[in-house]
Amino acid sequence: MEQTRKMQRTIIGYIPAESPMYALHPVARLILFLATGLLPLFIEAPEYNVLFIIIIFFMLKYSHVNLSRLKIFLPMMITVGIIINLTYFFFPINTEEGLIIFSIGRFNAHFHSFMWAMSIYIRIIALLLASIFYFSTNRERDILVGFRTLGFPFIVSYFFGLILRSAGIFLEDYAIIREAEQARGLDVRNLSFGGKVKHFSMYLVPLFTLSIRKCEDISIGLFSKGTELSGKVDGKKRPDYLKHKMKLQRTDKWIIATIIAASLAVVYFDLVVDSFSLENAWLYRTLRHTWFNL
Amino acid sequence: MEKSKIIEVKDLVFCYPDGTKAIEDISIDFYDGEFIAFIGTNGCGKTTFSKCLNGILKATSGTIKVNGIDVVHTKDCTELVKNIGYVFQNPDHQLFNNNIYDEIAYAPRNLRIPEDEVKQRVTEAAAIAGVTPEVFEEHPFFQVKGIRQRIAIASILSLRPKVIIVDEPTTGQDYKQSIEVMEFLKMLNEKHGHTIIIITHEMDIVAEYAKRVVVMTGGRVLSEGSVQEVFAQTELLEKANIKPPQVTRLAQRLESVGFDNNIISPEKMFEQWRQLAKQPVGK
Repeated sequence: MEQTRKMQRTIIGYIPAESPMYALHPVARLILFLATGLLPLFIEAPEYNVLFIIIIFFMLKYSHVNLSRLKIFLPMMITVGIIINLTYFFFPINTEEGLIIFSIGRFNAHFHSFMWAMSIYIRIIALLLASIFYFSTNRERDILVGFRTLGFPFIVSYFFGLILRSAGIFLEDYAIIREAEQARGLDVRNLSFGGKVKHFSMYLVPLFTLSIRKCEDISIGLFSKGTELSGKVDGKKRPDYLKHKMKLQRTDKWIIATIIAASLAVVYFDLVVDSFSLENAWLYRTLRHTWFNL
Repeated sequence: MEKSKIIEVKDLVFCYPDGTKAIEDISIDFYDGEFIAFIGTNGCGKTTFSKCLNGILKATSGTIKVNGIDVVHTKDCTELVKNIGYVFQNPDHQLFNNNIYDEIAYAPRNLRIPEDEVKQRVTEAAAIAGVTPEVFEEHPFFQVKGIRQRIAIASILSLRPKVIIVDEPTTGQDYKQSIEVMEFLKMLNEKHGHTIIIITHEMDIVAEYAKRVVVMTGGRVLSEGSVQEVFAQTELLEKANIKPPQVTRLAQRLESVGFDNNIISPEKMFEQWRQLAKQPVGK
Protein backbone atom coordinates (compact mmCIF):
# COMPACT_ATOMS: atom_id res chain seq x y z
CA MET A 1 0.00 0.00 0.00
CA GLU A 2 1.20 3.46 -0.86
CA GLN A 3 1.81 5.94 1.95
CA THR A 4 0.86 9.58 1.82
CA ARG A 5 1.97 11.52 4.93
CA LYS A 6 3.51 8.87 7.19
CA MET A 7 1.59 8.69 10.45
CA GLN A 8 2.50 6.73 13.55
CA ARG A 9 -0.23 4.91 15.40
CA THR A 10 -0.20 5.59 19.13
CA ILE A 11 -2.34 4.26 21.96
CA ILE A 12 -5.22 6.69 21.32
CA GLY A 13 -4.64 8.09 17.85
CA TYR A 14 -2.14 8.96 15.19
CA ILE A 15 0.64 11.50 15.04
CA PRO A 16 3.01 12.24 12.15
CA ALA A 17 6.08 10.00 12.20
CA GLU A 18 8.28 13.11 12.18
CA SER A 19 6.74 14.43 15.43
CA PRO A 20 9.46 15.97 17.67
CA MET A 21 8.37 13.63 20.46
CA TYR A 22 10.00 10.72 18.61
CA ALA A 23 13.39 12.39 18.98
CA LEU A 24 13.14 11.73 22.73
CA HIS A 25 13.94 8.42 24.43
CA PRO A 26 10.83 6.70 25.87
CA VAL A 27 12.11 7.13 29.42
CA ALA A 28 12.35 10.93 28.92
CA ARG A 29 8.75 10.92 27.71
CA LEU A 30 7.65 8.76 30.66
CA ILE A 31 9.30 11.13 33.16
CA LEU A 32 7.72 14.11 31.39
CA PHE A 33 4.33 12.42 31.80
CA LEU A 34 4.92 11.61 35.46
CA ALA A 35 5.93 15.22 36.11
CA THR A 36 3.05 16.82 34.19
CA GLY A 37 0.58 14.32 35.63
CA LEU A 38 1.68 14.22 39.26
CA LEU A 39 2.91 17.75 39.97
CA PRO A 40 -0.59 19.31 39.72
CA LEU A 41 -1.54 17.05 42.64
CA PHE A 42 0.94 18.97 44.84
CA ILE A 43 -0.46 22.31 43.73
CA GLU A 44 -3.72 23.60 45.16
CA ALA A 45 -3.60 27.10 43.65
CA PRO A 46 -5.83 26.97 40.52
CA GLU A 47 -3.83 29.56 38.57
CA TYR A 48 -0.65 27.45 38.59
CA ASN A 49 -2.55 24.40 37.41
CA VAL A 50 -4.17 26.46 34.65
CA LEU A 51 -0.59 27.32 33.66
CA PHE A 52 0.14 23.59 33.58
CA ILE A 53 -2.87 23.03 31.34
CA ILE A 54 -1.65 25.75 28.96
CA ILE A 55 1.82 24.13 28.86
CA ILE A 56 0.25 20.74 28.06
CA PHE A 57 -1.75 22.34 25.23
CA PHE A 58 1.48 23.77 23.83
CA MET A 59 3.10 20.33 24.07
CA LEU A 60 0.12 18.74 22.26
CA LYS A 61 0.42 21.33 19.49
CA TYR A 62 4.22 21.00 19.31
CA SER A 63 3.92 17.20 19.00
CA HIS A 64 1.42 17.55 16.10
CA VAL A 65 -1.40 15.84 18.01
CA ASN A 66 -4.76 16.44 16.32
CA LEU A 67 -6.43 18.77 18.84
CA SER A 68 -9.90 18.15 17.41
CA ARG A 69 -9.70 14.67 18.96
CA LEU A 70 -9.96 16.31 22.39
CA LYS A 71 -13.68 16.79 21.63
CA ILE A 72 -14.36 13.16 22.52
CA PHE A 73 -13.14 13.82 26.07
CA LEU A 74 -15.44 16.84 26.54
CA PRO A 75 -18.45 14.88 27.89
CA MET A 76 -16.17 13.26 30.47
CA MET A 77 -14.67 16.63 31.49
CA ILE A 78 -18.12 18.19 31.87
CA THR A 79 -19.48 15.21 33.83
CA VAL A 80 -16.51 15.25 36.23
CA GLY A 81 -17.02 19.02 36.77
CA ILE A 82 -20.71 18.58 37.57
CA ILE A 83 -20.10 15.69 39.98
CA ILE A 84 -17.31 17.50 41.89
CA ASN A 85 -19.28 20.75 42.21
CA LEU A 86 -22.44 18.96 43.32
CA THR A 87 -20.47 16.93 45.86
CA TYR A 88 -18.94 20.05 47.45
CA PHE A 89 -22.30 21.86 47.30
CA PHE A 90 -24.19 19.16 49.18
CA PHE A 91 -21.26 18.11 51.42
CA PRO A 92 -19.38 21.36 51.99
CA ILE A 93 -16.10 21.68 53.91
CA ASN A 94 -14.78 24.51 56.16
CA THR A 95 -18.23 26.03 56.69
CA GLU A 96 -17.32 27.78 59.96
CA GLU A 97 -16.19 30.92 58.10
CA GLY A 98 -19.82 31.42 57.03
CA LEU A 99 -18.91 32.86 53.62
CA ILE A 100 -21.91 31.91 51.47
CA ILE A 101 -22.02 32.66 47.74
CA PHE A 102 -25.67 31.63 47.20
CA SER A 103 -28.33 29.34 48.68
CA ILE A 104 -30.79 26.84 47.23
CA GLY A 105 -33.39 25.84 49.82
CA ARG A 106 -31.53 24.77 52.93
CA PHE A 107 -28.31 24.14 51.02
CA ASN A 108 -25.64 26.86 50.94
CA ALA A 109 -22.80 27.24 48.44
CA HIS A 110 -19.86 27.96 50.76
CA PHE A 111 -16.98 29.98 49.34
CA HIS A 112 -14.19 27.71 50.56
CA SER A 113 -15.98 24.59 49.34
CA PHE A 114 -16.55 26.21 45.95
CA MET A 115 -12.87 27.15 45.64
CA TRP A 116 -11.77 23.70 46.79
CA ALA A 117 -14.04 22.06 44.16
CA MET A 118 -12.51 24.35 41.53
CA SER A 119 -8.98 23.48 42.67
CA ILE A 120 -9.65 19.73 42.55
CA TYR A 121 -11.39 19.96 39.18
CA ILE A 122 -8.50 21.86 37.56
CA ARG A 123 -6.01 19.36 39.01
CA ILE A 124 -8.00 16.46 37.53
CA ILE A 125 -8.22 18.20 34.15
CA ALA A 126 -4.45 18.79 34.20
CA LEU A 127 -3.88 15.11 35.01
CA LEU A 128 -6.34 14.04 32.31
CA LEU A 129 -4.71 16.25 29.66
CA ALA A 130 -1.25 15.00 30.66
CA SER A 131 -2.51 11.43 30.19
CA ILE A 132 -4.07 12.29 26.82
CA PHE A 133 -0.77 13.88 25.79
CA TYR A 134 1.22 10.83 26.84
CA PHE A 135 -1.06 8.22 25.28
CA SER A 136 -1.42 10.31 22.10
CA THR A 137 2.33 10.46 21.57
CA ASN A 138 3.44 6.98 22.61
CA ARG A 139 3.06 3.47 21.35
CA GLU A 140 2.79 0.40 23.59
CA ARG A 141 6.46 -0.46 22.97
CA ASP A 142 7.63 3.07 23.93
CA ILE A 143 5.83 2.79 27.26
CA LEU A 144 7.28 -0.64 27.98
CA VAL A 145 10.83 0.47 27.11
CA GLY A 146 10.33 3.43 29.47
CA PHE A 147 9.22 1.09 32.25
CA ARG A 148 12.07 -1.37 31.70
CA THR A 149 14.72 1.37 31.49
CA LEU A 150 13.50 2.81 34.78
CA GLY A 151 14.03 -0.63 36.30
CA PHE A 152 10.42 -1.70 36.81
CA PRO A 153 10.25 -5.50 37.33
CA PHE A 154 9.42 -7.57 34.25
CA ILE A 155 6.09 -8.69 35.70
CA VAL A 156 4.91 -5.07 36.18
CA SER A 157 5.82 -3.96 32.66
CA TYR A 158 4.41 -7.18 31.19
CA PHE A 159 1.04 -6.72 32.89
CA PHE A 160 0.99 -3.06 31.94
CA GLY A 161 1.70 -4.08 28.34
CA LEU A 162 -1.22 -6.52 28.38
CA ILE A 163 -3.50 -3.80 29.79
CA LEU A 164 -2.47 -1.40 27.03
CA ARG A 165 -2.98 -4.06 24.39
CA SER A 166 -6.43 -4.85 25.78
CA ALA A 167 -7.27 -1.14 25.71
CA GLY A 168 -6.22 -1.04 22.04
CA ILE A 169 -8.31 -4.12 21.18
CA PHE A 170 -11.25 -2.68 23.15
CA LEU A 171 -11.10 0.60 21.20
CA GLU A 172 -10.82 -1.30 17.90
CA ASP A 173 -13.89 -3.42 18.75
CA TYR A 174 -15.72 -0.26 19.81
CA ALA A 175 -15.00 1.35 16.42
CA ILE A 176 -16.27 -1.74 14.54
CA ILE A 177 -19.43 -1.90 16.67
CA ARG A 178 -20.13 1.75 15.88
CA GLU A 179 -19.64 1.00 12.18
CA ALA A 180 -22.08 -1.91 12.54
CA GLU A 181 -24.65 0.43 14.10
CA GLN A 182 -24.17 2.91 11.29
CA ALA A 183 -24.68 0.06 8.79
CA ARG A 184 -28.06 -0.49 10.43
CA GLY A 185 -29.22 3.07 10.03
CA LEU A 186 -28.21 4.66 13.31
CA ASP A 187 -26.45 8.00 13.05
CA VAL A 188 -25.13 8.68 16.55
CA ARG A 189 -24.44 12.34 15.69
CA ASN A 190 -28.19 13.00 15.49
CA LEU A 191 -28.89 11.52 18.94
CA SER A 192 -29.52 13.56 22.07
CA PHE A 193 -27.06 13.29 24.99
CA GLY A 194 -29.46 10.84 26.74
CA GLY A 195 -29.75 8.80 23.55
CA LYS A 196 -25.96 8.61 23.27
CA VAL A 197 -25.67 7.39 26.88
CA LYS A 198 -28.36 4.75 26.23
CA HIS A 199 -26.60 3.54 23.10
CA PHE A 200 -23.25 3.46 24.85
CA SER A 201 -24.76 1.08 27.40
CA MET A 202 -25.87 -1.13 24.48
CA TYR A 203 -22.27 -1.36 23.27
CA LEU A 204 -21.25 -2.82 26.61
CA VAL A 205 -22.87 -6.20 25.86
CA PRO A 206 -20.75 -7.04 22.79
CA LEU A 207 -17.69 -5.20 24.12
CA PHE A 208 -17.52 -7.15 27.37
CA THR A 209 -18.39 -10.45 25.73
CA LEU A 210 -15.64 -9.94 23.15
CA SER A 211 -13.19 -8.85 25.87
CA ILE A 212 -13.90 -11.93 27.98
CA ARG A 213 -13.47 -14.21 24.95
CA LYS A 214 -10.18 -12.48 24.05
CA CYS A 215 -8.88 -12.59 27.65
CA GLU A 216 -9.38 -16.33 27.61
CA ASP A 217 -7.55 -16.56 24.26
CA ILE A 218 -4.62 -14.51 25.63
CA SER A 219 -4.33 -16.61 28.79
CA ILE A 220 -4.39 -19.84 26.75
CA GLY A 221 -1.78 -18.30 24.42
CA LEU A 222 0.49 -17.42 27.33
CA PHE A 223 0.06 -20.87 28.85
CA SER A 224 0.81 -22.62 25.55
CA LYS A 225 4.05 -20.63 25.21
CA GLY A 226 5.13 -21.66 28.70
CA THR A 227 5.24 -18.04 29.86
CA GLU A 228 6.98 -17.50 33.20
CA LEU A 229 6.27 -14.21 34.89
CA SER A 230 9.83 -13.68 35.97
CA GLY A 231 12.61 -11.29 35.00
CA LYS A 232 14.91 -14.29 34.56
CA VAL A 233 14.90 -17.16 32.08
CA ASP A 234 16.84 -20.29 33.11
CA GLY A 235 18.46 -18.31 35.91
CA LYS A 236 19.81 -15.65 33.52
CA LYS A 237 18.56 -12.08 33.12
CA ARG A 238 15.77 -11.90 30.53
CA PRO A 239 17.07 -10.37 27.27
CA ASP A 240 15.31 -7.17 26.21
CA TYR A 241 15.61 -6.39 22.50
CA LEU A 242 13.95 -2.95 22.45
CA LYS A 243 15.71 -1.72 25.58
CA HIS A 244 19.00 -2.72 24.01
CA LYS A 245 18.11 -0.95 20.75
CA MET A 246 17.12 2.42 22.26
CA LYS A 247 19.84 4.36 24.07
CA LEU A 248 19.54 7.51 26.14
CA GLN A 249 21.12 10.49 24.35
CA ARG A 250 22.65 13.58 25.92
CA THR A 251 19.49 15.64 25.17
CA ASP A 252 17.37 13.03 26.95
CA LYS A 253 19.62 13.20 30.01
CA TRP A 254 19.39 16.99 30.09
CA ILE A 255 15.62 16.92 29.77
CA ILE A 256 15.29 14.30 32.52
CA ALA A 257 17.59 16.29 34.82
CA THR A 258 15.62 19.50 34.17
CA ILE A 259 12.27 17.81 34.85
CA ILE A 260 13.55 16.22 38.07
CA ALA A 261 15.01 19.56 39.26
CA ALA A 262 11.76 21.40 38.46
CA SER A 263 9.73 18.70 40.23
CA LEU A 264 11.90 18.85 43.34
CA ALA A 265 11.55 22.65 43.34
CA VAL A 266 7.74 22.37 43.18
CA VAL A 267 7.69 19.82 46.01
CA TYR A 268 10.03 22.03 48.10
CA PHE A 269 7.95 25.18 47.57
CA ASP A 270 4.78 23.26 48.33
CA LEU A 271 5.85 21.37 51.43
CA VAL A 272 8.36 23.81 52.96
CA VAL A 273 7.36 27.30 51.81
CA ASP A 274 3.64 26.53 51.31
CA SER A 275 3.59 28.61 48.12
CA PHE A 276 0.91 26.58 46.33
CA SER A 277 -1.79 26.30 49.02
CA LEU A 278 -5.33 27.30 48.12
CA GLU A 279 -5.54 30.01 50.79
CA ASN A 280 -2.40 31.68 49.41
CA ALA A 281 -3.61 31.50 45.82
CA TRP A 282 -4.06 34.80 43.98
CA LEU A 283 -7.44 33.74 42.58
CA TYR A 284 -8.70 32.68 46.04
CA ARG A 285 -7.68 35.99 47.64
CA THR A 286 -9.03 38.07 44.74
CA LEU A 287 -12.46 36.40 44.69
CA ARG A 288 -12.67 36.52 48.49
CA HIS A 289 -11.98 40.21 48.39
CA THR A 290 -14.36 40.86 45.46
CA TRP A 291 -17.32 38.89 46.85
CA PHE A 292 -16.95 39.45 50.60
CA ASN A 293 -14.63 42.45 50.84
CA LEU A 294 -12.29 40.50 53.13
CA MET B 1 -32.82 -7.37 -21.24
CA GLU B 2 -30.13 -4.97 -20.07
CA LYS B 3 -29.73 -4.78 -16.31
CA SER B 4 -29.71 -1.42 -14.59
CA LYS B 5 -26.70 -0.06 -12.73
CA ILE B 6 -27.09 -0.29 -8.96
CA ILE B 7 -23.63 0.89 -7.90
CA GLU B 8 -21.42 3.31 -9.84
CA VAL B 9 -17.88 3.94 -8.61
CA LYS B 10 -15.65 6.55 -10.25
CA ASP B 11 -12.02 7.42 -9.45
CA LEU B 12 -12.37 6.23 -5.86
CA VAL B 13 -9.46 6.92 -3.51
CA PHE B 14 -9.39 6.15 0.21
CA CYS B 15 -6.61 6.93 2.71
CA TYR B 16 -6.55 5.71 6.33
CA PRO B 17 -5.64 8.16 9.13
CA ASP B 18 -2.12 6.68 9.27
CA GLY B 19 -1.62 7.89 5.68
CA THR B 20 -1.91 4.47 4.03
CA LYS B 21 -3.58 4.75 0.64
CA ALA B 22 -5.84 1.70 0.80
CA ILE B 23 -7.85 2.34 -2.36
CA GLU B 24 -6.40 3.86 -5.51
CA ASP B 25 -8.44 5.11 -8.47
CA ILE B 26 -11.10 2.43 -8.65
CA SER B 27 -13.78 2.90 -11.29
CA ILE B 28 -16.31 0.09 -11.66
CA ASP B 29 -20.05 -0.47 -12.03
CA PHE B 30 -22.24 -3.17 -10.48
CA TYR B 31 -25.63 -4.20 -11.84
CA ASP B 32 -28.94 -5.09 -10.29
CA GLY B 33 -29.26 -8.79 -9.38
CA GLU B 34 -25.57 -9.69 -9.74
CA PHE B 35 -23.73 -12.13 -7.46
CA ILE B 36 -20.24 -10.71 -7.14
CA ALA B 37 -17.13 -11.94 -5.32
CA PHE B 38 -14.25 -9.68 -4.28
CA ILE B 39 -11.06 -11.71 -4.14
CA GLY B 40 -7.45 -10.85 -3.32
CA THR B 41 -4.81 -11.32 -0.66
CA ASN B 42 -5.14 -9.93 2.87
CA GLY B 43 -4.67 -6.16 2.94
CA CYS B 44 -5.44 -5.68 -0.76
CA GLY B 45 -8.36 -3.36 0.05
CA LYS B 46 -11.42 -5.62 -0.37
CA THR B 47 -13.00 -4.78 2.97
CA THR B 48 -12.05 -1.11 2.78
CA PHE B 49 -13.59 -0.88 -0.69
CA SER B 50 -16.82 -2.53 0.41
CA LYS B 51 -17.04 -0.30 3.52
CA CYS B 52 -16.67 2.72 1.21
CA LEU B 53 -19.55 1.38 -0.90
CA ASN B 54 -22.02 1.65 1.95
CA GLY B 55 -20.61 4.82 3.47
CA ILE B 56 -19.12 3.32 6.65
CA LEU B 57 -15.81 4.74 5.44
CA LYS B 58 -15.93 8.09 3.71
CA ALA B 59 -13.95 8.14 0.48
CA THR B 60 -11.02 10.57 0.34
CA SER B 61 -11.90 11.45 -3.25
CA GLY B 62 -13.97 10.15 -6.14
CA THR B 63 -17.67 9.34 -6.36
CA ILE B 64 -19.87 6.40 -5.38
CA LYS B 65 -23.53 6.24 -6.28
CA VAL B 66 -25.79 3.52 -4.91
CA ASN B 67 -29.17 3.48 -6.61
CA GLY B 68 -28.60 7.17 -7.41
CA ILE B 69 -27.60 8.19 -3.86
CA ASP B 70 -24.29 10.01 -3.56
CA VAL B 71 -22.62 7.90 -0.86
CA VAL B 72 -19.60 10.17 -0.42
CA HIS B 73 -21.53 13.35 0.30
CA THR B 74 -24.76 12.14 1.88
CA LYS B 75 -25.11 12.99 5.57
CA ASP B 76 -28.26 10.93 6.03
CA CYS B 77 -27.25 7.30 6.44
CA THR B 78 -30.87 6.12 6.73
CA GLU B 79 -31.60 6.46 3.00
CA LEU B 80 -28.37 4.69 2.22
CA VAL B 81 -28.98 1.66 4.45
CA LYS B 82 -32.33 1.06 2.75
CA ASN B 83 -30.34 0.43 -0.41
CA ILE B 84 -27.15 -1.25 0.75
CA GLY B 85 -26.56 -3.48 3.79
CA TYR B 86 -23.27 -4.71 5.22
CA VAL B 87 -22.81 -7.93 7.18
CA PHE B 88 -19.58 -7.86 9.16
CA GLN B 89 -17.14 -10.75 9.26
CA ASN B 90 -17.57 -11.36 12.99
CA PRO B 91 -21.26 -11.53 13.98
CA ASP B 92 -20.31 -10.63 17.58
CA HIS B 93 -19.54 -7.07 16.47
CA GLN B 94 -23.09 -6.45 15.29
CA LEU B 95 -25.28 -8.08 17.92
CA PHE B 96 -26.07 -5.76 20.81
CA ASN B 97 -29.66 -6.36 21.80
CA ASN B 98 -30.92 -8.58 24.59
CA ASN B 99 -33.06 -10.82 22.44
CA ILE B 100 -33.16 -12.00 18.85
CA TYR B 101 -36.44 -10.23 17.99
CA ASP B 102 -35.09 -6.81 19.06
CA GLU B 103 -31.87 -7.52 17.21
CA ILE B 104 -33.68 -8.08 13.91
CA ALA B 105 -36.07 -5.19 14.63
CA TYR B 106 -33.24 -2.78 15.54
CA ALA B 107 -32.51 -1.44 12.05
CA PRO B 108 -36.16 -0.83 10.95
CA ARG B 109 -36.80 0.91 14.29
CA ASN B 110 -33.84 3.19 13.56
CA LEU B 111 -35.63 4.16 10.36
CA ARG B 112 -38.75 5.08 12.42
CA ILE B 113 -40.85 2.45 10.67
CA PRO B 114 -44.23 1.83 12.36
CA GLU B 115 -44.16 -1.09 14.82
CA ASP B 116 -46.72 -3.13 12.82
CA GLU B 117 -44.49 -3.06 9.79
CA VAL B 118 -41.42 -3.75 11.95
CA LYS B 119 -43.10 -6.94 13.17
CA GLN B 120 -43.87 -7.95 9.61
CA ARG B 121 -40.30 -7.29 8.51
CA VAL B 122 -38.83 -9.23 11.46
CA THR B 123 -41.02 -12.24 10.73
CA GLU B 124 -40.14 -12.09 7.03
CA ALA B 125 -36.36 -11.60 7.57
CA ALA B 126 -36.21 -14.32 10.23
CA ALA B 127 -38.09 -16.76 7.98
CA ILE B 128 -35.74 -16.11 5.06
CA ALA B 129 -32.69 -16.43 7.33
CA GLY B 130 -34.00 -19.63 8.90
CA VAL B 131 -34.38 -18.17 12.40
CA THR B 132 -37.45 -19.70 13.99
CA PRO B 133 -39.87 -17.54 16.11
CA GLU B 134 -39.40 -19.97 19.04
CA VAL B 135 -35.93 -18.49 19.68
CA PHE B 136 -37.00 -14.82 19.36
CA GLU B 137 -36.81 -14.27 23.13
CA GLU B 138 -33.36 -15.82 23.49
CA HIS B 139 -30.15 -13.81 23.77
CA PRO B 140 -28.32 -13.67 20.40
CA PHE B 141 -24.91 -14.10 22.06
CA PHE B 142 -25.74 -17.55 23.38
CA GLN B 143 -26.41 -19.07 19.95
CA VAL B 144 -23.83 -21.09 17.97
CA LYS B 145 -21.76 -19.16 15.43
CA GLY B 146 -23.76 -20.33 12.39
CA ILE B 147 -26.98 -19.05 13.96
CA ARG B 148 -25.33 -15.80 15.10
CA GLN B 149 -24.25 -15.29 11.48
CA ARG B 150 -27.83 -15.87 10.32
CA ILE B 151 -29.18 -13.44 12.92
CA ALA B 152 -26.65 -10.87 11.70
CA ILE B 153 -27.82 -11.37 8.12
CA ALA B 154 -31.50 -11.28 9.19
CA SER B 155 -30.87 -8.01 11.03
CA ILE B 156 -29.72 -6.52 7.71
CA LEU B 157 -32.47 -8.23 5.66
CA SER B 158 -35.10 -6.48 7.77
CA LEU B 159 -33.94 -3.26 6.10
CA ARG B 160 -34.85 -4.85 2.74
CA PRO B 161 -31.74 -3.45 1.05
CA LYS B 162 -31.26 -3.92 -2.67
CA VAL B 163 -27.57 -4.77 -2.20
CA ILE B 164 -26.12 -6.95 0.56
CA ILE B 165 -22.38 -7.07 1.18
CA VAL B 166 -21.21 -10.06 3.22
CA ASP B 167 -17.64 -9.98 4.52
CA GLU B 168 -16.13 -13.49 4.53
CA PRO B 169 -19.41 -15.40 5.01
CA THR B 170 -17.76 -18.80 5.42
CA THR B 171 -14.79 -17.97 7.69
CA GLY B 172 -14.54 -20.24 10.72
CA GLN B 173 -17.41 -22.44 9.56
CA ASP B 174 -17.32 -26.10 8.65
CA TYR B 175 -18.24 -27.38 5.18
CA LYS B 176 -21.92 -27.94 6.06
CA GLN B 177 -22.35 -24.50 7.61
CA SER B 178 -20.49 -22.86 4.72
CA ILE B 179 -22.74 -24.49 2.16
CA GLU B 180 -25.83 -23.50 4.17
CA VAL B 181 -24.77 -19.84 4.29
CA MET B 182 -23.88 -19.78 0.61
CA GLU B 183 -27.10 -21.51 -0.45
CA PHE B 184 -28.94 -18.96 1.64
CA LEU B 185 -27.17 -16.07 -0.16
CA LYS B 186 -27.88 -17.76 -3.50
CA MET B 187 -31.56 -17.95 -2.58
CA LEU B 188 -31.57 -14.23 -1.66
CA ASN B 189 -30.02 -13.49 -5.03
CA GLU B 190 -32.11 -15.75 -7.23
CA LYS B 191 -35.46 -15.78 -5.45
CA HIS B 192 -35.60 -12.35 -3.83
CA GLY B 193 -33.53 -10.44 -6.36
CA HIS B 194 -30.94 -9.00 -3.97
CA THR B 195 -27.60 -8.01 -5.42
CA ILE B 196 -25.01 -9.94 -3.40
CA ILE B 197 -21.37 -8.99 -2.92
CA ILE B 198 -19.18 -11.41 -0.99
CA ILE B 199 -15.60 -10.93 0.15
CA THR B 200 -13.82 -14.25 0.29
CA HIS B 201 -10.58 -16.20 0.02
CA GLU B 202 -12.28 -19.46 -0.89
CA MET B 203 -12.00 -20.01 -4.61
CA ASP B 204 -14.22 -23.10 -4.63
CA ILE B 205 -17.02 -20.98 -3.17
CA VAL B 206 -16.39 -18.28 -5.79
CA ALA B 207 -16.43 -20.86 -8.60
CA GLU B 208 -19.67 -22.40 -7.39
CA TYR B 209 -21.73 -19.36 -6.45
CA ALA B 210 -20.41 -16.09 -7.93
CA LYS B 211 -21.37 -14.87 -11.38
CA ARG B 212 -18.82 -12.08 -11.51
CA VAL B 213 -15.40 -11.72 -9.87
CA VAL B 214 -13.39 -8.62 -8.97
CA VAL B 215 -9.68 -9.31 -8.37
CA MET B 216 -7.98 -6.73 -6.16
CA THR B 217 -4.35 -6.10 -5.38
CA GLY B 218 -2.62 -3.14 -3.73
CA GLY B 219 -5.85 -1.15 -3.47
CA ARG B 220 -6.62 -1.45 -7.19
CA VAL B 221 -8.88 -3.61 -9.33
CA LEU B 222 -6.51 -5.89 -11.21
CA SER B 223 -9.17 -7.65 -13.22
CA GLU B 224 -12.90 -8.25 -13.31
CA GLY B 225 -15.30 -10.34 -15.32
CA SER B 226 -17.20 -13.60 -15.27
CA VAL B 227 -15.77 -16.39 -13.11
CA GLN B 228 -14.64 -18.33 -16.21
CA GLU B 229 -12.94 -15.27 -17.72
CA VAL B 230 -11.06 -14.38 -14.55
CA PHE B 231 -9.94 -17.91 -13.65
CA ALA B 232 -8.61 -18.40 -17.19
CA GLN B 233 -6.09 -15.55 -16.64
CA THR B 234 -3.38 -17.68 -15.06
CA GLU B 235 -0.54 -15.14 -15.12
CA LEU B 236 -2.69 -12.36 -13.78
CA LEU B 237 -3.94 -14.50 -10.90
CA GLU B 238 -0.37 -15.46 -10.04
CA LYS B 239 0.46 -11.74 -9.87
CA ALA B 240 -2.33 -11.35 -7.30
CA ASN B 241 -1.18 -14.49 -5.42
CA ILE B 242 -4.47 -16.24 -6.11
CA LYS B 243 -4.80 -19.90 -7.00
CA PRO B 244 -7.90 -20.86 -8.98
CA PRO B 245 -9.82 -24.00 -7.87
CA GLN B 246 -8.05 -27.34 -8.37
CA VAL B 247 -10.38 -28.38 -11.16
CA THR B 248 -9.54 -25.21 -13.13
CA ARG B 249 -5.82 -25.78 -12.63
CA LEU B 250 -6.18 -29.38 -13.79
CA ALA B 251 -8.05 -28.25 -16.90
CA GLN B 252 -5.34 -25.67 -17.59
CA ARG B 253 -2.66 -28.39 -17.35
CA LEU B 254 -4.69 -30.49 -19.82
CA GLU B 255 -5.26 -27.63 -22.25
CA SER B 256 -2.85 -29.22 -24.74
CA VAL B 257 -5.09 -32.28 -25.04
CA GLY B 258 -8.17 -30.21 -25.76
CA PHE B 259 -9.62 -29.11 -22.42
CA ASP B 260 -10.79 -25.49 -22.02
CA ASN B 261 -8.72 -23.42 -19.58
CA ASN B 262 -11.75 -21.87 -17.89
CA ILE B 263 -13.50 -24.91 -16.45
CA ILE B 264 -14.71 -24.14 -12.94
CA SER B 265 -16.68 -27.21 -11.92
CA PRO B 266 -16.04 -30.97 -11.83
CA GLU B 267 -19.32 -31.50 -13.70
CA LYS B 268 -18.16 -29.35 -16.59
CA MET B 269 -14.77 -31.11 -16.56
CA PHE B 270 -16.45 -34.52 -16.73
CA GLU B 271 -18.76 -33.38 -19.52
CA GLN B 272 -15.81 -32.14 -21.58
CA TRP B 273 -13.87 -35.32 -20.90
CA ARG B 274 -16.80 -37.36 -22.25
CA GLN B 275 -16.94 -35.19 -25.37
CA LEU B 276 -13.21 -35.53 -25.92
CA ALA B 277 -13.38 -39.29 -25.34
CA LYS B 278 -16.00 -39.62 -28.11
CA GLN B 279 -13.72 -37.93 -30.64
CA PRO B 280 -11.58 -40.22 -32.81
CA VAL B 281 -7.93 -40.39 -31.74
CA GLY B 282 -5.76 -37.81 -33.49
CA LYS B 283 -8.54 -35.19 -33.92
